[in-house]
Amino acid sequence: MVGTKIQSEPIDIKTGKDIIKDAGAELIFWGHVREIEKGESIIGLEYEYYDEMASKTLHKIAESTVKRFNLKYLSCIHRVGFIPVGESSLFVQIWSKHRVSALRAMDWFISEIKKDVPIWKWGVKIDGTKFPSNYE
Amino acid sequence: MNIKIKLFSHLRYRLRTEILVIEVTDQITIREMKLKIYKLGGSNIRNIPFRVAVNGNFVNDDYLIEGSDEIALIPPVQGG
Repeated sequence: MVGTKIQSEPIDIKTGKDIIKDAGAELIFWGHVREIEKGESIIGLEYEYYDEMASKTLHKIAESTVKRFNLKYLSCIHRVGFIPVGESSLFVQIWSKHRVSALRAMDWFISEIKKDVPIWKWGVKIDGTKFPSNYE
Repeated sequence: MNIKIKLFSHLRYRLRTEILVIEVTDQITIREMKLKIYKLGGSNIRNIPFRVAVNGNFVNDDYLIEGSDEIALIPPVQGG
């Protein structure tokens, strides 16, 4: 089971899933916006995205993660648009039978997002100017 | 025909536009399109790596572009 969403609204933790009775492990990851980007002080990040492709690719990666690690459930919400420092850009929740597969799946899933989902970060300075973030 | 190409991130920043339009007389491949883009962008974009997506899927350099294709240049992504 998979649930993915890209949204501009703040991520609400109540969107998480209720208990799954045959899963022994639940793992939650939150990604937050830091106050420094490329060595510059920022007020937030502007997340640019290629709409249809980003949604489609995120869902595809989620499905392949569930299959690869035999998970019970994976939910992911990626926020886009302007996100102030300290607020969340990414929420991932994984349910699996055992903890090891959940831990491995989380790392793999987020790494895959960072490879293929067409989303980009722009640092936003206090004067409103924007600069594209470094790529790795 | 005109090929419209969506730009993002560093490519949009360096070329100062969201859409690049290339005029061609015949069908061309992604490889040929890249050469035209490098010619247009010059040293501004030469050091920016990117992949090409057509209609939301990554394609290789041999892909022959159709008039109705939606083309996007995808520099290294930074989600998360």
